[in-house]
Amino acid sequence: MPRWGMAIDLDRCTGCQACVVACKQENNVPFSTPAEAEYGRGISWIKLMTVTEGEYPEVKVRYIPMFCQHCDHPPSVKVCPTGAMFKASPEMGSTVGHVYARCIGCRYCANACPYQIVYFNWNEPSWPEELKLSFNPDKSIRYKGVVEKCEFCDHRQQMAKDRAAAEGRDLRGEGDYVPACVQSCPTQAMVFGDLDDPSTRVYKLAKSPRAYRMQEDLGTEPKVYYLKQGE
Amino acid sequence: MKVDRRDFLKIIGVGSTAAAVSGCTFQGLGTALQLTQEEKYPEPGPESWVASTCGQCFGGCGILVRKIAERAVKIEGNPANPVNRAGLCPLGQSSLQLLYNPDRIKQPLLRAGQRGEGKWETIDWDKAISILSGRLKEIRQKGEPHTLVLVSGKERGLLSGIFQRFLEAYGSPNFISGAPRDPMDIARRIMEGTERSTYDLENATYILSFGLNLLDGWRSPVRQMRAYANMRQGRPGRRGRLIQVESRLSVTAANADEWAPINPGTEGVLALGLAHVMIREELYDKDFVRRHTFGFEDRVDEKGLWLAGFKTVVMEDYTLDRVAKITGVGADRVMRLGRDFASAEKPLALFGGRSSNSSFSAMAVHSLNALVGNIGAAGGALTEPRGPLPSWPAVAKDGLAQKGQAMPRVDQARKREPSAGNGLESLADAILSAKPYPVQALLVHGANPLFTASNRKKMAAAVMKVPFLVSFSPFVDETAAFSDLILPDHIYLEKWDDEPGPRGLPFPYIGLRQPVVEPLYQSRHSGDVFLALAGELGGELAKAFPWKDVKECLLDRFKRIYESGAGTVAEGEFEAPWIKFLEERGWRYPATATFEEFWEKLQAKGSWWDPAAARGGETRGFMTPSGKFEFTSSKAGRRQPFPRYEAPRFSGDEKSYPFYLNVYTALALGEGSGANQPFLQEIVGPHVNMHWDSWVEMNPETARRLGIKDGQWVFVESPSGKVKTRAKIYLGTMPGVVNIPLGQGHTAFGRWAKGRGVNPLDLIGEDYDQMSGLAALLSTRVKVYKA
Repeated sequence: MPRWGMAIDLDRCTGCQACVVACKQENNVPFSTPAEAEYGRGISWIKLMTVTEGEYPEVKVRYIPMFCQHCDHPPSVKVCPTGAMFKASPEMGSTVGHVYARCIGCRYCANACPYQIVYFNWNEPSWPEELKLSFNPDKSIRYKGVVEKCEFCDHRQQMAKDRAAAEGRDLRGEGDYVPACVQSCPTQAMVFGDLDDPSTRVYKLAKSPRAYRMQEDLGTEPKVYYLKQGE
Repeated sequence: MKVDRRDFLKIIGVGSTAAAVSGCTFQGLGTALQLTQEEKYPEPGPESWVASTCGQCFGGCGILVRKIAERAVKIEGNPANPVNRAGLCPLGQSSLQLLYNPDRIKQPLLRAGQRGEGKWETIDWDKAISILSGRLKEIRQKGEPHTLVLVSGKERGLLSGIFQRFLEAYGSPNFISGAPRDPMDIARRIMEGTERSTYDLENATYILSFGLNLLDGWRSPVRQMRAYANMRQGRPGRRGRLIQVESRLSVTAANADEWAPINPGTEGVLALGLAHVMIREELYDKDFVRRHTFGFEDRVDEKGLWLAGFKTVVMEDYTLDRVAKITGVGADRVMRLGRDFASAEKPLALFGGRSSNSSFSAMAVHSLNALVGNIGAAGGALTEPRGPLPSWPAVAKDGLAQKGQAMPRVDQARKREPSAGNGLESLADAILSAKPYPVQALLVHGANPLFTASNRKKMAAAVMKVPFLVSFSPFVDETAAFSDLILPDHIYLEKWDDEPGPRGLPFPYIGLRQPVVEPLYQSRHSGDVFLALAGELGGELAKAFPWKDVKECLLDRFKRIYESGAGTVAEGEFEAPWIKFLEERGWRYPATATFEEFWEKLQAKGSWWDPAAARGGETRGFMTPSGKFEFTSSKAGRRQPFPRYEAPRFSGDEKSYPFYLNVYTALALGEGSGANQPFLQEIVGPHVNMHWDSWVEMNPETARRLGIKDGQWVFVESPSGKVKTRAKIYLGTMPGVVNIPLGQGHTAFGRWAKGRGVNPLDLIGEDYDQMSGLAALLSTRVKVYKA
């Protein structure tokens, strides 16, 4: 079974935020009201982090898409009192998953996560009736009082598995499925696949001299690699 | 880059507040236990996919829409489409919030109260069409068909073709395009004689952009982003460079290798400074300049007058010191940029500014392309290849139509410089002054001039003077709010249409738009409305439109393309070389035996293209009088000031209004059409951590001097008006400039757009670029003070 991971080439990424919107549409993520957004309570499983360096006029602005890093040693899982937040077994892809029905909303995970990508439903999400027509039936609707975060579009993985099983084979390390963000990326900056399979593109990119991981010194072993700008 | 945990929390913004709050309360826990909810799944159903073309902008991206039963649930980029190849931008992704928007108009509306009062009577389509056709008949009977004006947001494609044909048969010369115009196109029209410009972004290795929003909008956003990514990492070992010269650190500047802040409106001076360096150090392409250009050297005209050439003026007027002084860019940097540009493998200079001297600047920037000889060369400035443009048989005009068509245009577009296109803004003056004649009826489709025109207040006053205003908008936007009749069009996911893409695609292309879902409400395709109108009006008008509906008209168009034998249904990335190979030998690829087969394939794949039409050779045939690239005009008696410096004009004196106001567009909201979609409202300002609102960007030093803190409410005031918004400290702001994004400040347009933020156009002093007639948006000084 693949060990899913992602590589994001920041030399290709322009910061357009297509991934942000694609994710929200795919995963039935509610949009914030202006007031919630003001409190910092908007939910966006993937969002664009902007890093500004230097002093005027020598200023550099960097855009970095930030979402669950699917750590091999996820701090969020260690602190979860109910087992709602869990690390999937190698047979299930080694991602960090979350069971809403088990979540009691304590938000230990949200605080423990060094990447700040676990979001809490402060309010009952609501949509006008018309917009409910665009719901994705593969993804459940969450409710007030639970946390949520990126799951590498696990529902897509399930469907890809079913398709592979129907063809009598295992899931491949690349090509059977990608999360919605990867699919939408206009510049193909995001590459998804099996980090253990040397034939995949993500494996090669993760080995690039430009590749680094976020806050590696914390020992979380993230499975998302960023490739810095440059040759 | 080293980001530790403390930095990380700071950067991520919301994290810091959320973490502080969340550590100490169990509010959510209690609620969750009380509710004991279960996970709910939305209704399932059979899955299907429909290929179509995105309509959020004119970029022409192919889409595949996932349907569950009759619901559209997700939009993906179409991998078969040659424009976007599977990628899609945030606008395309957010389209379902357009389709399922609760504020859509559900059936035709007739004004019940005063203009703009917001009282409407719902009417059926028969009545709506008879009201409109009755009015049009009346105007025609009075013998004044030319007083009908139609504003269209698009100038290409089937629908705009129907509009133009209708006006022609009706007898009006007044088709006014609200489509964005590009100063670089104007420059190329003057210097090369053609406006059909395209740029070989895919092959350039050094892009020097003077304020162009290359990665944040412009023509076809996904195509440009793809080209950029390919330039960076698509050719192993040969990473292309991007330099952005701009008064604000934009998205494009953030991605660039180097951001060169420049005094607003002086981009042209810097370009000519670079030209100075290149000429002085003999770094320009002498062969190209000698063989293909006119006006580089001094000359004596037919009257015996001595005229200074480009070289002389640039050497005399644009010395490094003077350039540095005007632009604020250091002399060293000017020299380095000039040398870098000239020595790059495939350099390309682009311009995108909206100051009162934008044509001057665009010409200056385009001169750089001539100096490196990249016009008509790979990686340079090319001419858009022409496809088999399907034309309809000529309209048989009756006497009234002939008379009406011969009248001058109401916006007097053709009276100005020939380079001037149709100016939406000039419509306001024409209506208010009733010159050359009063406008009797104004039809508006796909445009919202009361929100986007730089003189929108004047435009509002003008619109009130027009006795009959009809809007075709699916939403009650600002313009529709003041109309007498609203005939709501479908959302693009509900209709048949074509999308020829924006100017500047490197190949002829037509995207097919087909209904993904049945229309949700009693809206109607505006093309069908015009066909019905033509039928009601009868005579030659009815004969001009022999089709029973838009779909038939579209089929007819594709049939002509099929019969022309050019191009093919686009199927995938690797087909292009094959198509070229075969087509050059007179074969079709892949052969489709019948039109029916072609049409079926087109519906499955979504677009048609002709990669073989792009032949580099024909692009050097300059259409100018001299047959060459013209640094200065070769026309007798035409004294064009270029390349003499034309300073930008600003309203407001420097003392009372110390800052330049730079209004800019960002991808998410564009000029405001994205503001009614919550997904887009949420992503408007990641760099300043803003959502659902406007803001004014300030340099930290400037803000400190004025005692203004980040997030504080301020007034921004110009001689033309003032707005109240929040100040955001942004390092990418020049000390003498403040920036406000466009797109917010709606006074109508539904629950999610209305009342959010401010429209900075309210501050703009009305001014135009003299050469092109383009509205100048960078033309105002402001002051900022605490509210």
